[in-house]
Amino acid sequence: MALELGLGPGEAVQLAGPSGCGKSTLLRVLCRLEAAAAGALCLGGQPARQVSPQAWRRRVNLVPQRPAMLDGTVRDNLQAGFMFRASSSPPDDLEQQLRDHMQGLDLDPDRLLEQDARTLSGGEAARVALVRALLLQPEVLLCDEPTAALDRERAERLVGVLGAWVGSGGALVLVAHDDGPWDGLQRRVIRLGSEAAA
Amino acid sequence: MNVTPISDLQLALSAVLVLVAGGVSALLRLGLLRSLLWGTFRTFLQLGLVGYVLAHVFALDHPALVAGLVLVMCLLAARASVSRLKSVPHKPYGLAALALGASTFIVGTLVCGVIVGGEPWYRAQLAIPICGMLLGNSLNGVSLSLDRLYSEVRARAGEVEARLCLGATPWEASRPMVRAALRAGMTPIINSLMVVGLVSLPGMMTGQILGGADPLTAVRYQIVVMFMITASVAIGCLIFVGLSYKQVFTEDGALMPELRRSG
Repeated sequence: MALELGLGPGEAVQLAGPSGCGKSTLLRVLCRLEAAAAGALCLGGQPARQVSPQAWRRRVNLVPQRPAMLDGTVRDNLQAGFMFRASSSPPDDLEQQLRDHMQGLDLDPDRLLEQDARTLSGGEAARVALVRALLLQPEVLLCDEPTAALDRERAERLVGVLGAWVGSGGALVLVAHDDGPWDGLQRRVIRLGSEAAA
Repeated sequence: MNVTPISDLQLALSAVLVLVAGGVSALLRLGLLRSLLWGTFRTFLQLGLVGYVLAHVFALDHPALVAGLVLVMCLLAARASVSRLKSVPHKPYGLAALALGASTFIVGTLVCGVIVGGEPWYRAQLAIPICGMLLGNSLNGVSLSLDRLYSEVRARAGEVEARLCLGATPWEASRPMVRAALRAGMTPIINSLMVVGLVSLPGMMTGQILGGADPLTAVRYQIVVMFMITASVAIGCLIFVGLSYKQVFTEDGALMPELRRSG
């Protein structure tokens, strides 16, 4: 199946389609965790081969459906993106930013920040992973079924956070089923067929 | 030294001991009888051949012959260290040979040339048993460490990819798994260091004592052997895992497809 997808700042795209049609694989290809069988990726007019995978993945950041938590506390996980060689230095107001993001997603920072990240529930881990990604300020955010583990109320809050992020100039590619709480998010919907996309 | 010789009949009698293990296998239907018989045959054949080869090599005592024999031992050890690892998709024979060769060369040269010494330091009777002990122990270490590296990466693929997504290099993403692999490779020799002399009398020391050597001299040799094996296992595992972790990733710094978790 051929697919041409262009995405600018402040734009959101929803990938929809039946299970197994390649939606999640396409997200993994977009952040270079998998290689596409054919085709090319460009970011800001630059071909993928001219950008190191480390820099690319920070600029095109993936939040998978069941995100893994790293060893350590929730705080360690949220700061992990600033610990690597290719990392930018953390912003001066990192503490404030991570608390704001957590509260926006109905996560209590005072209760959770020093908690072992591996003891989080699926819904908490999904939201902590989204905060972890947002703190990196990527140009493109790839979210795979971000509301799958959330109740309706929390899912709507998450949609609101993603909407605000797109409103501030971020680009979003979303894998979600049509019955999710996505009405509040302005987006293009691309339907993938039953053939694998990548 | 006063060595009590073992006659052909006594040697054949020792094989009766394996029949006990074979009897247990047959009684409990463990399916090991064939392997036990094959293993017994190979022990006779391999050690018998080695005995003749060593007798010739020791008699000639030529450095090129010593180096050639150590190289062959190194290649066989490399093959043995990775060939049975089901968790490793592409067997890194070359890397295993490099790691085992380098660790044996570094530690073997130090032990033969500096610690034990003698003239010449590369004489067959010293270099071959030393290198044999180094390779025999290091191959277990590197084998365990590689197996652990792949099983850890496979089990924690989500964690590796989470690190990659945060901008980690392959080394940064796999560092916890590399640490676990090195620990796994080093654990047996550290356990041996803890109990040597208390629970087990090592083969070399036992052999020297059976051969009539003074127990205190045998102990001194054994201490050197334990330390050289420890160093060799550590260096071998470090080189092997340090080079092998890259094979877990694609050229684009992503996890190899066969190691990703499903779903």
